[in-house]
Amino acid sequence: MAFSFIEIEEKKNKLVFVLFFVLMLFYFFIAWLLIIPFKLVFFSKYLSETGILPNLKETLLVFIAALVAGALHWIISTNQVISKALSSLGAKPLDEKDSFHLRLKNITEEASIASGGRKVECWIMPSSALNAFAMSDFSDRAVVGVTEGLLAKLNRAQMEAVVAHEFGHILNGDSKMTTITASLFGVYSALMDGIRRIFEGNRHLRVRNNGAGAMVIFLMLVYAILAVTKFMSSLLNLFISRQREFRADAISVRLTRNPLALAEALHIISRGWRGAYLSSEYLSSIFIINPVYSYLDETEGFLSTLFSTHPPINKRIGIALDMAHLDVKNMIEEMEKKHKALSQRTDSVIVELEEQQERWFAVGPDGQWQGPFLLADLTAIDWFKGESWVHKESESKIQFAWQNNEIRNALQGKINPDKKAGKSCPRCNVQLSKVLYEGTPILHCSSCSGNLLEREKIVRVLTRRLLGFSPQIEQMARAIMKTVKDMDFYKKAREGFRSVQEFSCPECGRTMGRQFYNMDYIVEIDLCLYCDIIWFDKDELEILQFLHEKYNDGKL
Amino acid sequence: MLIGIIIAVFVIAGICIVMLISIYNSLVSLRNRVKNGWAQIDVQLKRRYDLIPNLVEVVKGYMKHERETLEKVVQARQQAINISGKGNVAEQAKAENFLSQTLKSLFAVSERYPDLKANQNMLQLQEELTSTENKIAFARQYYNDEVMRYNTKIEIFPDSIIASMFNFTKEEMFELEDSAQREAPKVEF
Repeated sequence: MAFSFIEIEEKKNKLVFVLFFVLMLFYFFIAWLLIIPFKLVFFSKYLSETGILPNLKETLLVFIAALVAGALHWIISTNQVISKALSSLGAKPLDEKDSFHLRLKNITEEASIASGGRKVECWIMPSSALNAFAMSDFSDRAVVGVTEGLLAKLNRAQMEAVVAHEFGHILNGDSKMTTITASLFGVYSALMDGIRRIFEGNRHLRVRNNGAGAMVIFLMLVYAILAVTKFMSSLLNLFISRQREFRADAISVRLTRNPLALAEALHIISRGWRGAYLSSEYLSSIFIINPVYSYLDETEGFLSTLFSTHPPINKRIGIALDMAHLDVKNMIEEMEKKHKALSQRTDSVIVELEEQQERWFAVGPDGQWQGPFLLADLTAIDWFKGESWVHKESESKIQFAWQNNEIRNALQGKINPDKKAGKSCPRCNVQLSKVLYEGTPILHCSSCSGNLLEREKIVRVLTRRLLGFSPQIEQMARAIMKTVKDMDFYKKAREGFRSVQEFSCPECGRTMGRQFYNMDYIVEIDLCLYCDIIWFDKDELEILQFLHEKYNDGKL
Repeated sequence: MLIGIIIAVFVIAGICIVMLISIYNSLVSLRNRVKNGWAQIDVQLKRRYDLIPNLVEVVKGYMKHERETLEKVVQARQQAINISGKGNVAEQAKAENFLSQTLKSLFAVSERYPDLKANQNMLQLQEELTSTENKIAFARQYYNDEVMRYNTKIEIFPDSIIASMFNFTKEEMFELEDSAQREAPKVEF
């Protein structure tokens, strides 16, 4: 990279100085202005003597106050910026058992190697939105984050381009700038929200005495000043903002040498839900695309250059495509072709997680070898008996089923617990097994085909489209949609939250409540509010997925 | 007058020494980056050597009729291991490229075995190998960029004088053989 560590270090020191200076200036400015309402309200009797504008002595006082406030503000808001921002975004670390997350981890490592060894953490936002972000702070901790939706939607090359783009921000040093300014000036947004809330709370209360009236006027003036300050701080944010997306795109192409994948990724991101209102407004500059659609972003000119945080997406795609010697029409056609090929997916298949799980072959009623089966599945087959011939997948030794201890135990309902998840199915009390479903580890009952998963994994299952649907699932889902259309809202709501308490939670043993997944997807789920895990009966998870996919494609 | 000349000579000599030191230092740091780049490639190549036996173990059971393809992979791996560590970049690049190609044909053949494609171990290995291949490609890209910068630097005047004084020699690039691969360095199995 063009940036050696010494250069980055120098840049950092300059950055600290500039930012602190700007912060001080703001505090001085605010405090100076604040004196006016303060005098108006509390010292209105002496106004004729002192004048409305602050005099020299007051200005000096204000300067000292600004210095103290600025230093405090600086210390508080630059301390663990990234951890705070991550928790406000609800980001989670990667789940290494999940195949999509594992892929992302690998891609981040690849980008790190391409950049000459910059170490970067990778986090996930459990949301179906399509967006990604980068942050770094003064301690050189750097974080790249991707939403669950984007992870599911992009292929490997496209994901690589997006991660490399975020690496571009980090290598460039501009993510440090945006992260720190966001955390420094995000405070104003928070303060304004607070004051607005006070107003809204008091709107229907008549102002009874003078003190409260003065207070309201005081707050209103403070609010006005804060609004001006916030406006100016956003200006500051934008001065550094617009060009850096182009630069990060350029670095992405330089790292991956794949401008087409970048163009495709940007195209996909621009056409999906970007995750508006997921984060506070002040964090919007750390994202690859502004989470809130703004008209200004998509235009060019003096105003947009000043006020918008992101350049027009069309222009970015255009630049990337120029590098790939293609035009937009070609790209979209190619992408649709690929999409069609991909949409012919396989039927619902659950891939077993093979953690030391032995598979077995057994002789069926027709005298042919069948399999391989997992132990739980084998013992659930109705023709399978103690006198069936079996052999392990790894060995060729053939024996009667009853000769083997494991199978004997399994047949007697005593499956070896350490090969299983250690939790039993709420419906049929059989041990649940760990399986991969849409690339994410969930618990599956091999006897009733129900599925148990944590609530945070639902967004993964819903956004990913590895698996197709069997015609039966489609039929059932359509039938559900038909009944829903006939139901009126109140009936729906009444039905939706009836509390049939049939199952007890496999995790904690408390009774689970039964309800609809939500008012759009009328699928019955059993939910344990304490452990936040959900039980889906046979086919229910697939139906929910079907409803979600078709709803999002607009084909319901 | 004489004092003036002496001062001028000292100043010029001083400037020359400072320049010499700074050029020398930048050459050393560039050379170290090239070495670091090579170390990165080496780590990933070793990782690939370690992954291949696992792959062969998983694939063996399913692909009974593809002995030849499998043997080729094993041979190519052994050949690459034998050459590695001898410091001959061009030879090693050749061996590694051959290994990449045999792996590619192995994955192409595995497409014909649906059971194998659904095997969880196989999927994991495939992801790991894809990632390792990409890491090798990226590490090579970084290494070649740094070698290019370094080689240019030691040929440019006045750096070339200092380079020849302190014995900075040109480094070899980790080249790709066929032009098709040059177009698209990343693989997707």
